[in-house]
Amino acid sequence: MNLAKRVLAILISGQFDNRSAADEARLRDEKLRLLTNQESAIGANLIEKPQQVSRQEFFLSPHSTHSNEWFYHAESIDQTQSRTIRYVVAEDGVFKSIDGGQYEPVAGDELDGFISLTKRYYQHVAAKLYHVSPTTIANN
Amino acid sequence: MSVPEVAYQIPNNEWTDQPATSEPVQATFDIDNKYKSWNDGTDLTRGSAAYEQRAVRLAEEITERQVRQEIIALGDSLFELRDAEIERLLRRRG
Repeated sequence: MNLAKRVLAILISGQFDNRSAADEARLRDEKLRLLTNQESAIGANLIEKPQQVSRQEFFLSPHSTHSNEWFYHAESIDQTQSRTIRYVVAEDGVFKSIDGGQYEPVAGDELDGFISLTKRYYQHVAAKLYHVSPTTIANN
Repeated sequence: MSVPEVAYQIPNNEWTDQPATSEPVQATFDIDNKYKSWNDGTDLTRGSAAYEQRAVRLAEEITERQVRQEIIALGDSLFELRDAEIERLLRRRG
C-alpha cells in the first residue's frame, strides 16, 4: 500500500471510530433517559398526588457523579405552575433547594418522609425495573 | 426517625463530667428510639442529666449519619443497576 492510501485508510478508519464512539454515547444517553423516565414513573406512584397537581415525578439524579441527589417535580392541573425540589444527601445532613433557590436543611416529618420514600423507591425500582431483589434494604 | 437497632460507642474523652475508664461508654438504640442500656447493663437513668442528654444527642447524630450513608449507598447501588441495564440493552441491540 502506498503512503497516500495508508493515510486515507487511517483517516477513514479514524472517522468511523469517532462516529462509532459518538453513536455509542448517544445511545447510552438515550437508554439512560429511558430508564430514568421509567424510574420516575415508579417514583411518582409512591407519592400521594395532591389535588391541585396534574403530574408529578420523583427520581434519582441521572448524572453519574450525583448518586446523592434526588428530584421531585410537580405540575399544576392548569399547567401554569410547576415546582422542582432538589434534595441532596450529604454527610452532615439532607438539604433541599426549591426551584433553584438557596439550600436549606430538611428536618422533621419531611426528612422522615424523604428517607422512607428513597428506600421504597429503591425497593420498587430494583424489583420492577431491574428485576433484582433488594433483600438487604430495611422496610421503613 | 425509625432505625434498626444499633449499638454505638462514645469515647471517654468526649466527657468532662465523668472519670475516664478503660471501657468506652456504650448504649443501645432500638427501633422505637428507646435508649435501652449502658454497656454495663444499667439503664440510662445512671449518670448526670447532662451526660445522658449528650449521649442521647450523640447517638441520634450517629444514627442519622448512618441513615444518610445508607441513602447514598442506595443511590450508588441504583447507578450500578442502571449501568448494567444499559450495557444489557446495548448488547442486545448490537
